[in-house]
Parts: sequence; structure tokens; C-alpha cells
Amino acid sequence: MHETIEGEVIVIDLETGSYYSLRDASADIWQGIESGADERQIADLLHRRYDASPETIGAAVGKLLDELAGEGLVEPGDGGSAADRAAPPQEANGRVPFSAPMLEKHTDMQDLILLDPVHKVGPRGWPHAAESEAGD
Amino acid sequence: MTERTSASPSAVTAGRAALAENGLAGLQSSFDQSAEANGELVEYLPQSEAAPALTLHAWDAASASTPRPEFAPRLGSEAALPPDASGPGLSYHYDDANFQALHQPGPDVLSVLAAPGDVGWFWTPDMRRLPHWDYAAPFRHLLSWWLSARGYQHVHGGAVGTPSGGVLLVGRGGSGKSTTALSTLSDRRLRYAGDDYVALSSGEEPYVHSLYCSGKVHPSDLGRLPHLRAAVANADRVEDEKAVLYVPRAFPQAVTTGFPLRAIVMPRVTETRVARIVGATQSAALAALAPSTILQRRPPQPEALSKLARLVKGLPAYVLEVGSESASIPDAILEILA
Repeated sequence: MHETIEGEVIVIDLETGSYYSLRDASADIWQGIESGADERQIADLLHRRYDASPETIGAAVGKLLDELAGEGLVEPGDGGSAADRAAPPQEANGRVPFSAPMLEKHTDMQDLILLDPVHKVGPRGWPHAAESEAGD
Repeated sequence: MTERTSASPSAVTAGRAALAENGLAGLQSSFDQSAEANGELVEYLPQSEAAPALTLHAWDAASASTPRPEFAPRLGSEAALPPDASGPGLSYHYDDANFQALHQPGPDVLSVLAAPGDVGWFWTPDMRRLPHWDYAAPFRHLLSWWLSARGYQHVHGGAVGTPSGGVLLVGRGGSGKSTTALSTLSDRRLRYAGDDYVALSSGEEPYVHSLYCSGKVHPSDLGRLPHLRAAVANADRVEDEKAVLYVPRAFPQAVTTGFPLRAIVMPRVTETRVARIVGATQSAALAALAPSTILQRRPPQPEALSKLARLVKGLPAYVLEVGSESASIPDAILEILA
């Protein structure tokens, strides 16, 4: 689950209790994923907005996608056609300085999920797990 | 709506809420665990003719001298509650179209809500053995489920303000929410809606609804909140738990059922002396409010994120740097509300 506010994306992982924030270029990458763009298309979009070489941006996009996949927030290979996607807003004076996209991870709420798990139970009641949870 | 509803079999009276035309008329309850009160429910409610919108039946085996209900699961090896636990604990949840049920083996609490009839049940073997965060703010899951179904949002945050508007205090445990909220109790300009959990309604004007009339503070913080010392209700237990106080008893002028919400404030304990307000981003406010609200609930409530984001987007956000002089906090809050 995620929400964008003031250009910052906040992502909460209900399975682990971790939450993440993505700003600037990392928020643009997240929105690219959301719109169905693939890795190359996301890199192109960022290159139109940020002042850095295609190689620098391409490597940074790949690294963040790997991080997101490593956290289980996106599936490897996420993305599709970006044909419908509008280009990200560009600065009036051209491209803006590029900072390497960061995935900021917060784990202070993890105990609420990892140490205090919620087991969903089915109609048979306690202690029988619901079918979707059986075998966990 | 002020009548008390007794559970049966019960030695403990139930809490209840009422919906007035403009929202929650108020449910303010907490169990008093002091030796004299022996688990009595502390309540404050405004006078109202409205019928109860929710009836909660609460009882325990110890004071009612009744056996464990057949539907309460037997405790297994997972029952032990860690001494430093403050989260909801391992839990088992069931829901269908009409019922939600939650068993928390740690405190051994069973909560059941029936949507038809707006009625809930809360059972535990002995009310006097509830951990302080449960007896000071009871029925959290029952209220959260019931409020959600009516468009209200139960949130992890405190709130203080004036009748014309107030602030929501958000942040992780230890950030200074309680210190900030409780510092206002001796200031006659401000009202207290809670230090840890309140309900919000959105609409044209977001509104804070008080849920609990209690406050909790780490005993080591009583030194800089001297006005609270005489109000501590569990003085005999503060070596093992936070100091708990009941606002209507010690600070009746501070009680409120709620107020319009004007701003979101993130307290931050600093080395400064006088409290100071600093502008903050709405994204920081959402990050301080949403994860703990969503993840503390059983089951976690994913749909709350977009609701909370909409709320945050309509409000200014601030960091309140809390210094050593807690008496300066009310002025800083009133500066925001000016």
C-alpha cells in the first residue's frame, strides 16, 4: 500500500511492518513503475528531467529497482507499456540536478507485525487457521 | 446519552458511545486499576438524550465469579506476555459480514463486535491484571472496528486544543506525545482529548473526538510535569508500569468531547529549554501518523492510508521541539492555533 504526498511516496508493507519513503528521483521511479513503464522507459523519463548522463541514470534506476524487488515491494520485471504516461514535469530552465535515488526504510514498527503476528482464523474458530493461512 | 449499561454476568459496567447529529457525542472511559477502585470504569460523558449507538458489555471471570466462557480459547504456550510488551501482542482474528472477533493470548482478552445491533463484548479473566495500556485505554479494537464502519478513523495520536480548534499530536512511542498532551492539563486555555488514541472524522471540517479520559506518562517524566504528581492513580504500581491518571477527577476543566482539527504536530524531545514550533512537511506528518495507526490495529487497516493522506493534505504540519520547560508547551500550541 502506498500514497504520494507532496511528491514523496510513502509505502507500508503490511507483511513485515516496514515502511518506506521515496523522494525526488526515487519517487519518479516509483510513479514510473505504477504507470506501467519498464526499466528503460523509466530511465528515459528521468533523463528528460534530471541533469545526468544516461549511463548514470540507467545504473541508478536499475539499482533502485533491485532494491525495491529485494524488499518485495515490486516484482522483478515489473513494468509494461508507458505509452499512456505523461512525461514528468520538467523545470522551466531545463533539467534539474540529479541525486542518486534512495529507498529510505523504517523498521521501528516491525515489532507490531513480526513479534505480534495476526493469525486469521476460519469459521471453525480458534485455533484453526483460515484456509488462506493454513500451512504458513 | 449518559446511562450506564450493565453486562450480565458482570461486576464491571460497560462503556458506550453515542452518535450525535454532528458526530460522536463522546465515549470517554478507562478502567481504574488503583487498589481502592478495583477495576471500576471511569467515565465522563456530556448530558444527552440520545440513545446509545454502541453498547459494550465488559466482564471478567474474577469479579463476576463466573467460569471462562466456552468461546474463549484456552491458553497455549504462547500466552506469556513479555514484561516489556507494548504492542497488541500475538492475536487471532475472525470476521464475517456480521461479526468480528479477536483473541489476544498475551493479556488474554477476547473482543467480539456484532454489527447487527451495534453491540460488543469484552472479556478477560481478571480486569485487575490487564496491562496498563489496556486498562487506561480499553476496547481499542472494538472501537476501531465500530468507528471504521461509520466513517470515523481511530488513530494513534493525542489531541489538545480549544473549543474552536486543536492539534493532533503524532509520532512513535517516546516522541513526546504524552508529555505534550499532559503538559496542557494545568493550562486553563486548553482542553485535553487524549494522549495516545483519538477518533477523527473528515468531511468539510476534520474533527477530533475524544475516546479516553486517561493519560499515561513515564514516571521519570513526572519531574518536569509536577502538576500531575498528585493526580497519579496507580502510585503503588509505577515501578512496573507507567503512571496513569484520570483527567475528569484531577483536571475537570480540561475535559472535552472534541474540537475541530486545525493542524498536525509532531513533538520532538530536544535539548532546548523553551518549546518551539518549526514548520514540517505533510509527508513527515503522514509518516508519523499512518504506519503506527495502521499496524497497531488488528487486523491492520490498509484502507486507512488514503484516508489519512487526504486528511493530512488539508492541514498544516509542524514539529514541536519540546524542551526542558514543559510549562512553555501550551503557549507554543496556542501559537499554532492563533
